[in-house]
Amino acid sequence: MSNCQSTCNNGTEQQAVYRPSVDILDSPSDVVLVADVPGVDESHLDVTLDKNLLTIRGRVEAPSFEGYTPVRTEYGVGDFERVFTVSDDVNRDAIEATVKDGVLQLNLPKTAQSARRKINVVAR
Amino acid sequence: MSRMATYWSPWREINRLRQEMDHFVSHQGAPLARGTAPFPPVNLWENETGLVLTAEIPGLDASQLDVSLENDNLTIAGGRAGSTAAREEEDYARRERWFESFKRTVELPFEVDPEKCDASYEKGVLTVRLERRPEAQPKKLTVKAG
Repeated sequence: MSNCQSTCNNGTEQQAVYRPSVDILDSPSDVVLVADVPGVDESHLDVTLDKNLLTIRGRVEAPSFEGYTPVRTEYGVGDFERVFTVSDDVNRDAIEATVKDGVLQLNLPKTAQSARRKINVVAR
Repeated sequence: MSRMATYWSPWREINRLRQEMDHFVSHQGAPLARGTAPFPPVNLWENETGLVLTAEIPGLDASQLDVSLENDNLTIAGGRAGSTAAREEEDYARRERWFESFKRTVELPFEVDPEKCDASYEKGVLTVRLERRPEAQPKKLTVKAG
């Protein structure tokens, strides 16, 4: 997947980056992270786990309507990025990500022997 | 330059404060803040022949989204529940996403032709295309899945 540099900094202006709202659900068997990322689909989503840092990045193509002039702008359009700290009891090999209707859901199953830890993902 | 790391950094302080504020604000969950900015926020584009409206409303089915038009008033209504993965309320370690129903009427800058309207919902973004016309009749739009 190409990085943000080539898509959102095409010589003119840098596209804004937003921090998505998230829900984090923690149960004895898994952690589920849900993030609002309107405008993002599977092909524009990047989820990386580097040591214990989980990074989600979504690239959004700002809509352009040819021949139209913006007359009201109540929200900004840009990419999404947020970093989380994942604890050791998450099974790194079993993390799954899906995107539907602009909502990212990450399933992070816990390893069997670690079901007692309280908070497994810490929002930053 | 290992000494660099020991310098006081205003950015680090600002980030830390921001994180604390975020945590404080988000701790109670995020019902829609009524009485503040209208929800959903919309963007509007126009030209001589028409108008395009977009709104970011992620996580809905097109069937949960109701777009209707009366004269120069466009109403967007819908709602979504909390995360489906939440089996228990105490499962929430963090809750920032909105989860209530909403209804917003946007006054358009001109009357539009109810026969020439198109609403689509894709990747959590609603796009409504409308064409200008002086006289207009109430009409309900069907929302297509993206």
